[in-house]
Amino acid sequence: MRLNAAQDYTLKKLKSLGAKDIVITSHSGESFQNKFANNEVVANKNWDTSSLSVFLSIGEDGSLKTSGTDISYSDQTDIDKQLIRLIKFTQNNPINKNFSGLPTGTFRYRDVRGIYDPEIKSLGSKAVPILRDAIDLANQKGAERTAGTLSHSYGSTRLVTSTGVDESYDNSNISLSLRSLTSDSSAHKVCVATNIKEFKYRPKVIQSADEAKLASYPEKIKSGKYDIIFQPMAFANLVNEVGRATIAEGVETGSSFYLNKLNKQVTNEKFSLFDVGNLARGIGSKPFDSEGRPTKATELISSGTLKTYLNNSSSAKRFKLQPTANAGLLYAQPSNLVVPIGRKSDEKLLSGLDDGLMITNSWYHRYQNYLKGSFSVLPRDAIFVVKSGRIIGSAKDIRISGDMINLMKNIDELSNKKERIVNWESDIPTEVPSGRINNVNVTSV
Amino acid sequence: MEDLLKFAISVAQDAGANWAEARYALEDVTSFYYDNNVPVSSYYTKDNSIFVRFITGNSMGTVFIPEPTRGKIGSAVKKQVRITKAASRINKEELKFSEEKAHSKKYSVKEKIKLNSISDEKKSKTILELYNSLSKLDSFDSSSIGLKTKITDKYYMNSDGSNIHSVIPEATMNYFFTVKANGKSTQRMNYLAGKGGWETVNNWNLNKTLTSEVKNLSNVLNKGVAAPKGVMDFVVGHEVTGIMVHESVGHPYEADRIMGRESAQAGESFVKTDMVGRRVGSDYVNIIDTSLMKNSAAYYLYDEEGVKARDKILMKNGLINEFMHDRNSSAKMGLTSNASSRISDNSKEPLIRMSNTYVVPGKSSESSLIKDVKRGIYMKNFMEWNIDDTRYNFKAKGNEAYLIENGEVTKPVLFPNLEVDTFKMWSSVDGVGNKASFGMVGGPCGKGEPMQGVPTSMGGPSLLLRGIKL
Repeated sequence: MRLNAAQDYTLKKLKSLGAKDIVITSHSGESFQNKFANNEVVANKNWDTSSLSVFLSIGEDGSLKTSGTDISYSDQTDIDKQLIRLIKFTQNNPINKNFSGLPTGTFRYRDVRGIYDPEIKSLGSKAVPILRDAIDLANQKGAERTAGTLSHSYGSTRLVTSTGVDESYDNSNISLSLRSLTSDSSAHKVCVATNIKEFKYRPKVIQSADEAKLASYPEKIKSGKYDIIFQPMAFANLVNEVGRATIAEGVETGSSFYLNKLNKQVTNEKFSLFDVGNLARGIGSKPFDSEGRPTKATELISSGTLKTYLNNSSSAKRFKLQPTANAGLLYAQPSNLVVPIGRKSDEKLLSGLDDGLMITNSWYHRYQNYLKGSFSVLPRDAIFVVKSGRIIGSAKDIRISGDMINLMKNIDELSNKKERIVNWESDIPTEVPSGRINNVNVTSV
Repeated sequence: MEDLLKFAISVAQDAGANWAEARYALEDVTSFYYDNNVPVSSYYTKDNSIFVRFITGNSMGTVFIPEPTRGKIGSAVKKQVRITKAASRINKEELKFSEEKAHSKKYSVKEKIKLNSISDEKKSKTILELYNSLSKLDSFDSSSIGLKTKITDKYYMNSDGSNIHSVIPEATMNYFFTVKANGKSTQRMNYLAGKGGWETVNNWNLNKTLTSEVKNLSNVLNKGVAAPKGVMDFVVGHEVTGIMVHESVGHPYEADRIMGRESAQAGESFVKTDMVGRRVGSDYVNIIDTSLMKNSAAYYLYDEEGVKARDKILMKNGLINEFMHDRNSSAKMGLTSNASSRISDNSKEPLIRMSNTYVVPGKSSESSLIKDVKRGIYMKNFMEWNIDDTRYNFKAKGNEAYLIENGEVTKPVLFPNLEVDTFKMWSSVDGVGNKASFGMVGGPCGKGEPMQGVPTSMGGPSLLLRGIKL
């Protein structure tokens, strides 16, 4: 069967089999990735991302059983068999008392501006000149080696539910992740866009090569407390941790440091955080969430105070919160995390740092105790030593540790320029400025 | 199925590939996830897909197709060969693969109790009963527990003539719980994995194991003293040995990482290609990676390039002995592959990965290692850990840990730091526990773009480390 026909058939069939809440999501599209290392293209990957997934409940309100599956949709008889199996599978499940049904009511949807560019769909081998240009440019600017990925994808997603939702959207994105390396240093930048026109990768490539060169001859530094400027990629990694901690279901299960913190100060008052599901040209944007609620902007942290948890309809009810339209059928999911900018330019942020560090990237953020937010993380790539507002050298082999709430309360300044970050550590699309955090615990081996 | 794979390989070759491989997988997955006593996720899938990889010019291409048909395969492979050819023109180096023997083999892992004979209800109840048991303990606060069973029926063929059919059943569990006592809290996260039938789950002794863990952590919270400062000796249990081995020996000995192929994200290595034979640890240290450990998390007989598996001796008496290789990295070093190429699922490219990595046991009992310490730390397990992207700057923070005073374990200690560089860590090994202290623990290991989490295991015996700064 064709995908859309299979989707319609599945909804009808599940209704006839007695399912109560039904969500069927279809997706058709492709992803491409050119992976490069040592200035060579080491793999050129293509995925057919087509899928048909089902979530359903059976039973009565207050005692619903739930389950999910991916449907193999090529043959109608085969679909029938799979759905009968799914109903039986669900009947054998215990009651999911966390699930309180899909939202009902009439929703009005608006297209999200700028999340699909047909040029990306037809990019194909035309991505190769971009890749060549990025590698050549980094090398011309002083990188000895480059490594990274050039990725692009496009797709069409359709949601149908037992509550009458039948909506769809197209989206696309293109990204370059490039690390410039010298013999003893590196710097990593990303450029992400939903359309070709805004995919301005060259400045990022140049910045990557420049910072890699500037970070040459790194030296060990002493353990101690440092004031640190987190460049956007490093700051986005922290903001991703903060965003994840606002997920309602994580708060319930001990994997968040925001338990009992609603309406309390959790960061410095200079810091606010929004989740914006309908962000124009946002990488994580879509017109509706997985339950069919129209997406919107939600202020999670307002001038340092935690205002709400990200939720789906069921967790909103449990926490007695307004729905944020972040379903996830199982858990709420952040869409685009947006940090409002500050007042100082990046240059002034640097010139105002008397004695400290500027880190450009980090990885391996791990918790000893999620409830307390006690963690450590390793800065990677260029780590600059700053004295009297000037970069005077670079550092290596350091680790940052602390607890997330105190760390975020020590934010002192945010720069007035945002960057869009999606990478290995920041898998939630994030728009952040640079942030200065004071009194950060640094250890050196 | 073999016809479809032959077709995929021939399409790639006809389009200009000079080497190609294809694999078909039917992945039958059932999964349950509970937050406390609530079954928040219950799902099953039976996905079938084909993955094709080929070399054309000086570069490599891959194609993933769910629900494959000849039509889909034909158009996708031809298109991707064109893109790969275009990208290949950027490259200056020839892309080489080592010459390897072609194998034709069918193998499977025996299930004493077939996974499919266990009802979905029983699988789900396994978690619920575990939660119900833990929730009776005073200090137990909350948990999230997931259980997944999977049977992968896979066919692999390549243009060298290999033809391998494997059927691998497996079970994995990840659990996370919080213990609260004495006004404090701590948490435990662990991953269990094994290839085999339902007996794999039975062998985990879940109730006994997790009950003991909750009680021991409660004792740490109730009676634990602050971690001392200064330079002292550590005795570490097999879980800590495992994470040391995995992060600071396994990863840096992956040849693709050493040669920079993964440098954008997964990182590089402090080890260089000319360091075979270099001393990086004390004489006591011997480390092996093997996929041939029966019923282990990472059991396989042939890797994802069709190469027959063998043990890899990574460190021999403190000297670097060999790296983990695939056909590309081994060709670059003038070697043959040692079958380290793995995937997390059928949509991903094969990468060099660890399998089951461990320190070879020595002769000392754990009690004799402890007896040899005047003042130190016995670290049984850990929670927080990390390492830098060249695998030099390591940290594991103790969870269940105790003071050692005058050769005896005395009182619990609160969360000591083992933060040390790789050379110092392995050079400080002054005693290796015997088989009685040996254990392996599972770990989902991440690498690649997109991220691939593959089941691995890691471990060894207890170790005595001298002179660690705390």
